[in-house]
Amino acid sequence: MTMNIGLIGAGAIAQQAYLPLLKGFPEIKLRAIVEPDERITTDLSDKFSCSYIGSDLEAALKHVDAVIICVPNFLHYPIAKLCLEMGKHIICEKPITTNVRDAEALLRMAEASSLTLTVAHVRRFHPAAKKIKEIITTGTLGALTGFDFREGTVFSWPAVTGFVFDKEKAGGGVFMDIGVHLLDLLFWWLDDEVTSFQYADDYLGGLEATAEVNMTFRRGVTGHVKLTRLAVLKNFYTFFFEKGVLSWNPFTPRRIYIRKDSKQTVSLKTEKGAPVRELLLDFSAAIRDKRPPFIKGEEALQSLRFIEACYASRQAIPMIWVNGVGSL
Amino acid sequence: MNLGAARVFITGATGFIGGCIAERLWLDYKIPARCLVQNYAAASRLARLPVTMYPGNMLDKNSLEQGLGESNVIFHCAYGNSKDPSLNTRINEEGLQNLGKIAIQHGVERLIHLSTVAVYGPEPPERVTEETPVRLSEDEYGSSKIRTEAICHDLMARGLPVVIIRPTVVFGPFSPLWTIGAFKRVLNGGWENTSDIDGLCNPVYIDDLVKGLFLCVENEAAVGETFILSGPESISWNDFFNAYKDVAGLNHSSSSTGQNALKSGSTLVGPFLRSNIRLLRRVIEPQMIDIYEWLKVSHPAFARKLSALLGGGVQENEKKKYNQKTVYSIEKARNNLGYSPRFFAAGMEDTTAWLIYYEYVPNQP
Repeated sequence: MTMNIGLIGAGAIAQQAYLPLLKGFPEIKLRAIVEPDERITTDLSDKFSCSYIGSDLEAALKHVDAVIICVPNFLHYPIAKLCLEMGKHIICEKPITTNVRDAEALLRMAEASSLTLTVAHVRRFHPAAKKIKEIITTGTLGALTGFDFREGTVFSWPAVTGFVFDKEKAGGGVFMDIGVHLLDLLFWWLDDEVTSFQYADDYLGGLEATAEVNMTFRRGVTGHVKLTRLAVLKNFYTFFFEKGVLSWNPFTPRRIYIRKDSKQTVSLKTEKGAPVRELLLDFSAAIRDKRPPFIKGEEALQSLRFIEACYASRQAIPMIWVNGVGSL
Repeated sequence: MNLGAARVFITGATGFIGGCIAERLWLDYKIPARCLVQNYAAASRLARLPVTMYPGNMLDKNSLEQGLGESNVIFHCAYGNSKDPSLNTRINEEGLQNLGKIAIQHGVERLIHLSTVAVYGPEPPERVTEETPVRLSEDEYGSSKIRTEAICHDLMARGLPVVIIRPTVVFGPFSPLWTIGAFKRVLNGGWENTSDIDGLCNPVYIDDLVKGLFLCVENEAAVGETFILSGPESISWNDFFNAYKDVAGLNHSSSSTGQNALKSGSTLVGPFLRSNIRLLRRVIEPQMIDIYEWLKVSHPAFARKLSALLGGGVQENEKKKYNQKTVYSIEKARNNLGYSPRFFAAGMEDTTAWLIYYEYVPNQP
């Protein structure tokens, strides 16, 4: 059975991740596109034969069973709420909302209406991410004892409106934007609860561009996360096991590097993977089979809860190059 | 005027100097600047602050008008750095005229214009002051800044209180050229073979430059004047780059083997090249000369890396620049503004902490 889907928001993420895929997707038919920018809708009208392309969300929803929400973060909640009220299943770009309260409300609505709500934490669909989960779960390298995740690039997302740098519209800085991906993976991999943490960032009254957090989990695993939009970091997620060390670079996701018992590092090449395609397929199958999606809304909520808790307890990173800031 | 009570507009605020101005204004004066932003993708650093960003550019008068708002102080740091020289000229010159006209209409009390010591041309004399004649040259950046300074003088004649600043080698956190660029250069073996380099560098730490700019707002004697803002000392270019080698843990006593470049090479390529460098040179060098000449034109970044890995370093066409013994005097700024910058070593301490924190330095925990 083919699912009729609508794309809500046709900005950078929609154009890069979803629209190229939706052109020839047998299981999912793109029926509607909602976008306020007329230049974009005019351009897309030439490329896609949809029942509706324009700026009226309610008009578009009449043609679809489900939607992909790709609008700026602060609009996730009101648009998802309307879509749920209209009985539509949802793939929501990350973060699910800009605050826990709104996310909880959406999850309640989805559950009450038996609608599928998943969040595009697509990194989980990388075959390597699944392999790491398997290694942790099966104890191939012994028990996991710790981790050190570093992810940093010089921000260059082609943000047209600048909403990512608007506190109200984005909901947070790098920890909300990239951290939400990383935390989703981490919580899924470890399947454990954080019992204590220390969070610090370079917030100076706006949105943090660098963030660090030390975490301890219930089963005793401790770890450190460092994220930035200001420089290229080592960009490795490193796991410390009883019998070895595993490293994974989220930007070259096919390879996993494993050093066992202090011997030479070996590289494990996983399948290429197509995370966004996998997300769409899983979403479609979850609706068809009436089962939960691979990425559940509750899991997205867990990451968001942690981010909110971190923001509420933020300290300054030791920026000794900025006089008077940072004393950790 | 009292900077603490000023309302500030910054052009080029997503850049290195503009970003630091916005940061110090907030940290030192609690001034949330209004900032003109041409490219949001570059705004991560700026967005940490409670500034207001106005999308636009120097050629869009409406955006300048909107960005300026009720500001009475302008730090003008924007300049054209595109690949199109004619567009750059328009941004620099027409853009400044746009800004100046609006500033006059709005009764702006101070426009601080960021110029450069490149206005003295590619071969400045050994002692340079604000009185030293500027010189148009083939360097379009320096020449364009000369023309913008002329526009500043015209604006002053029309009653706008302008101060022209000519910074020297500005280094420190986020400096794309003289910290990130210089550090990557030493890592990539770009500061080797320097036994015949003995010129002088005039470094100024970014925070000192910004303090100097603030003094130009606070001091009425600055209006209508031009100031060179450098550090308190001239050091050799070797000392400047060797300071970065120290940060990187590279040995700067050897100068011609290219070993430093190799030491810092990628984990995969480095060990292979280290063990095979002599063989590589003997076998491939003669055949590679033509290819290298082609690479220099078609893939300059790769060519530089290859050059460094094979024992390159300071290039012939750079030697004139790095052998100049020019000293830029800051006496006028000291005497008229009370400008008192820190020594190079002090600035390098903070710069080192920044380089380590942001993992530019290899092999740090």
